[in-house]
Amino acid sequence: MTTFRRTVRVLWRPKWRIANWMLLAYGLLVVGNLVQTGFSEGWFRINLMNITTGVGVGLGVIAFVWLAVRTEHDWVQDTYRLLPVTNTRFYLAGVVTTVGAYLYFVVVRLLVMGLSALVSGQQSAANLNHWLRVAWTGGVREFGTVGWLGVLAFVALLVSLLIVGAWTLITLVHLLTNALSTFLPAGRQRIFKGLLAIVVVGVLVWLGKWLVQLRDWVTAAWNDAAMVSILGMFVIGVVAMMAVNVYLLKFWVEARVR
Amino acid sequence: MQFDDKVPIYYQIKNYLYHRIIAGQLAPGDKVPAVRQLAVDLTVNVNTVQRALSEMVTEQVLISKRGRGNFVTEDVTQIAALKHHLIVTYVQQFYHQVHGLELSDDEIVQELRTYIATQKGADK
Amino acid sequence: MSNALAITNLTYRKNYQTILTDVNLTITPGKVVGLLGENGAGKTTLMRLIADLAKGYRGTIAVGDATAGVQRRIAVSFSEALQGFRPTTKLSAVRDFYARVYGDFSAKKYLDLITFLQLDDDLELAKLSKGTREKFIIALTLSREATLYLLDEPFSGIDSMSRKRIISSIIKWKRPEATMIISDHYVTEIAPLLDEVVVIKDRTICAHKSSDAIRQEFGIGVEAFYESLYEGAIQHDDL
Repeated sequence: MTTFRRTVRVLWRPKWRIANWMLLAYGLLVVGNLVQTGFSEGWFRINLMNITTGVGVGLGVIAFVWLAVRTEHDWVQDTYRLLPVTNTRFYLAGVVTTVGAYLYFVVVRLLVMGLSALVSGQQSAANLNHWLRVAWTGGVREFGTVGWLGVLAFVALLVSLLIVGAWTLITLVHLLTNALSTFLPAGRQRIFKGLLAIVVVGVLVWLGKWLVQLRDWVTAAWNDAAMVSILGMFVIGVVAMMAVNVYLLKFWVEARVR
Repeated sequence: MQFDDKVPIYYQIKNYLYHRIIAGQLAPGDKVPAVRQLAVDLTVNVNTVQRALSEMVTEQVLISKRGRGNFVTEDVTQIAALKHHLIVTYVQQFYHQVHGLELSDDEIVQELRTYIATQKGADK
Repeated sequence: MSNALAITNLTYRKNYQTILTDVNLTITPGKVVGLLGENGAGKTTLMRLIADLAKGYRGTIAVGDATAGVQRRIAVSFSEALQGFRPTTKLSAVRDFYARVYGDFSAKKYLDLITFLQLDDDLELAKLSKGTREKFIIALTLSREATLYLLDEPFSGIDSMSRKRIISSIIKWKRPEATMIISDHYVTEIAPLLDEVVVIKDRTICAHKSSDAIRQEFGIGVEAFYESLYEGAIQHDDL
């Protein structure tokens, strides 16, 4: 049987390429912007940090979508479905590589931003100070017993879970649609796909509302128990969806026939 | 070698080897090529070659030596018998086919003689 | 040892339409079997079911002793179309992929095969002609030391020189105990290669016979036998 490590390695390659393409695009944007600012405002007035943080805001979304497309592509390819590895390991390897590639993209970008902040020196420090002041006066003053780091960790985990959850949901919808198109007759397919669409939209709307509520609730009183239970609920939701995905892969989802 | 798809392949392989033995291309005591080699040369399945060879071992035309392969029998009378058997088979086929054309035995012999004579003439 | 392949009461439906029904098939180890049938008869589907690529069937499929999907995937080497690779992937990169994920991949066998099939490992997938691509797929499939090989129409649309090379490579590199199923809808050129033929017609297996038995019993070639089954000249009851 193929080991988990080897499965990860073969699934990683194409996703790593995607992350690198996105980083290249980011690099080009930075350089382009640099040159443009240099010519229009004068080279000495360039603030590197402003540029590195200012450009390519949409790249994160593109990387997210591109990785999702690749992930879904892998689920239905003979080349991958033939691997002598259990469906659970195969699925987890897919998730791990997608998350890993995205993380790689994000971390490299943050590193570039950090380095450029060092280069920009004083000016940037002033900038950062300004934003901190804004945040402070904006009302984020008290973090209860949790403290700065706790809130930061909570937000980071929540965002990560939302991203992973989104990929998991995309896979769930994809695999369900795939299984429905394979085994149900055309008429009933339409009904079930319609239902599926309604359910997905419903879930997304509910999730959106809930997140807004959550923000109010959490910012009103920062407390550990609330945060942990929120994260816990998210984790359970994501894991449940993952379990369904593995089940679908194992019994109902066929690779695309050439 | 081209096979006739209507006749069992193992049978045709046997015939092919019979001919080689009688023609002396495989002399008494010679090693027969390995099964896989024969299969590759003849572009047939290994199992089919195996079947042909093991039948020939049973017929004692080939002698199987453990771990060393198959050898043509050194028993010359065995080969002579094989040759005779083949001749009889062919004559039988020929006779039955021509007989079906309503020829008398004398006429058959006569036709054969004439044919041989013209063939010899053509060869010269 | 048990059978190389044992399929019992297999039924497979897609979109509520029966693709295969009541399939029973047993193949003993070491055999080379031709899987014959018209286009769309279900040859590819049957292979995909065996290889655990098609799902949702009823009945049992056992490759050796393995019935679970992942166990079957370990035992089976399926000639997949390499759609998972980008067209610019080099053949050597595909080999690396295979060597990494398949524990039974033999680097030596691969080298022997690509040398024999005259393949240049340094080319990109997109640069290969149909025949060369098929040869490469065969080289990869046979490089695994699997117990059951499934070659899905390896000879369709390729020139006769490539076909001959592929046939020779099969004879040369198939281990005696390994079993091989080759699907095709045109059988003459591979007939001498086949121990047995399995004919799929009307969504099920309508004949499974040894090819020399066909020649002996019916006095006809495998191709003629197959055609007469489809034309109804030989009825199912005659078998």
